[in-house]
Amino acid sequence: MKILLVGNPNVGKSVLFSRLTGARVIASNYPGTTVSFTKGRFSFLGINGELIDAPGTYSLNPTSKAEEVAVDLIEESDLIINVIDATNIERNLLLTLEIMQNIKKPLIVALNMWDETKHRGVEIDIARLREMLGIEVAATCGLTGEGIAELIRKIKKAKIPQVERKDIWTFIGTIVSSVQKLHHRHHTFSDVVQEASIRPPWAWVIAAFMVLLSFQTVRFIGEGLINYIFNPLFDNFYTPFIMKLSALIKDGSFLHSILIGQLNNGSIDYAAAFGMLTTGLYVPIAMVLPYVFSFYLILGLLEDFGYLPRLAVLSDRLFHKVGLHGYSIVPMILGFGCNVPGALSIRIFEERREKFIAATLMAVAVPCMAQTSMIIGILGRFGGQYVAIVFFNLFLIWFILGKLLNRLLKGRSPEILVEIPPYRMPSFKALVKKMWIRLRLFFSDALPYVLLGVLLVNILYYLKIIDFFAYIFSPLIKNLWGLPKDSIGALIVGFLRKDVAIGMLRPLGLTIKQLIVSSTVLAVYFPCIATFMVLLRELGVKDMIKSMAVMITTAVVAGSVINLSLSLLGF
Amino acid sequence: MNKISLISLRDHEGAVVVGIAGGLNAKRKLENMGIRIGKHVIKISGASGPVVIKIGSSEVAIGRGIASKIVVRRK
Repeated sequence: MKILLVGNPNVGKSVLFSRLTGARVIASNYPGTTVSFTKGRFSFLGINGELIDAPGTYSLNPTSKAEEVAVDLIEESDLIINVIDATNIERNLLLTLEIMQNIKKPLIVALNMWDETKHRGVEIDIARLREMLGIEVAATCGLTGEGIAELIRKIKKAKIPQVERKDIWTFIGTIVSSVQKLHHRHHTFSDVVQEASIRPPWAWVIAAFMVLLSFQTVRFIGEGLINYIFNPLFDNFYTPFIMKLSALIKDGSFLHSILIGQLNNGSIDYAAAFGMLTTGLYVPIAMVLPYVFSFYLILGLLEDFGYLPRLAVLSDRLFHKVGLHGYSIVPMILGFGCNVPGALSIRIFEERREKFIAATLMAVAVPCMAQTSMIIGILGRFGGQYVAIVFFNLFLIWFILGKLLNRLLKGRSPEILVEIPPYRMPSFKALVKKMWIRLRLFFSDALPYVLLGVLLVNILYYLKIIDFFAYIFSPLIKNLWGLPKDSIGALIVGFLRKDVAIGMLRPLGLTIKQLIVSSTVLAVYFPCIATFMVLLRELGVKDMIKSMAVMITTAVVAGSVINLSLSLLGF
Repeated sequence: MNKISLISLRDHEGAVVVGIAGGLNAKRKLENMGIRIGKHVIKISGASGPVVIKIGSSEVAIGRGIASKIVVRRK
């Protein structure tokens, strides 16, 4: 038996899904978190089956890829649980009635976010709603688990709705006026905060503060974890083991260079050694993980609090200049964590042009956290201002490239139309769960690739393949970018993993200018293979080829311009 | 005549939607958000950038182009 959870965006389907299946899915307080479906097994009351968490949709007429997925899933399911935001039944009932009129399948309604009705002055007569709809209704609260048992009991009583075909809006009007009572309530503190954070000029001040605070906190926690936890752990416990192993397999042998890499005067420099057991573990665990952890902690808080849609509204005008609207901030922000979810989230957009620009700009100018932490690790040693220069370059590239694409591509910028959820207090448990999902993905998806990347580096050097490509590409690399020809190795490995690629710059002994140029070029020229695969699927072959042409051209031009301007500035 | 576009409404001012001058697609998308003829809205902000309104118990941000097509009557 296939049961489907369907409903408007941001009504809490994913939270209910985790409650019912125990499966872990990412849930947040903004519309469009779920862009694909997740299946989970359930077994209750003697029924075994599959529960499916669908992306949110406002109606059965899909306007985006994500909504299409939801509508297709309705066709495939055996029973539908329509999740409704209890504080907003009027808007939510449109989908309910569309399903009732057009889909002949057993249906029940979960009146979710029930806990919020009380303090938002909404009173709903559930018995009356059930009577008028003619189907079972259960009041639920996904976050606390209240009402879940009742919902499960009602699944058994689900029946195919019988409705006469009358005008939907008239029907909704009748239902709302007879089941819902709105109590007037005075402005609360949360109303004041909500308004201040969306209405300029205060909204700008708050946004600047939030962005700066988030940035500083990510840095503070990331650095703290590295300096006080991971580095001491490696130095005190891992180094003795590695040194013993090194003595055992003899410095200079092929096995030694693959496992341990190059020793530096008999001691180990984890970032530069390039063995699988040294750099291969040190980069992902002690250089990248701390920042990934702190980034997702802060992102999770902002997501669950409900700040992202507000930031989207405030940045709408900036995004219009590059042919997008403010909600495109979602793929950009997710991209800072990892470009893969960023690339997936373009599914919430409607038009091909919009998807193309958003995907290309993200892939070109948004470095993932793995890449960022390596840039901080390698370039930040000389001073934070140099890391800032890289980010400033990337922003300029993002902006100029976006303006160009907006001008060159036919069509207009779409407009934002999005619901802004109320602020909600992030739940500690939900936050921890979400971080666990994301960190586990990092380990399962990133760690093997990093090890593979380090292995590849050794093989490439051993077989002199890097020398071969260095010879071919040296005019571009040396004359335009001002980099030593050996840095081609980083560009080759960058197809696989950007963090390993930036790590490869370390043993080359580059100048600050060269590090800035190469970090920027590595971010721009191509996404990593994992992002590439997602983009290929989401954009299609034709647009992906175009996007790649844009990336490579941008890398050549931007790399040369940055090299030239830094030289002129005396770097 | 006090029919104006949503954009011309002052912040904190309430109004009733009396018409949507957009195409079918725009109309449908607005309906999905609960914005249709006869609904009461309160403008929250929108001196520049998207117009933010309160409709029922939810808040919706609307791009200026679409907002200019929503005709309202002041209350």
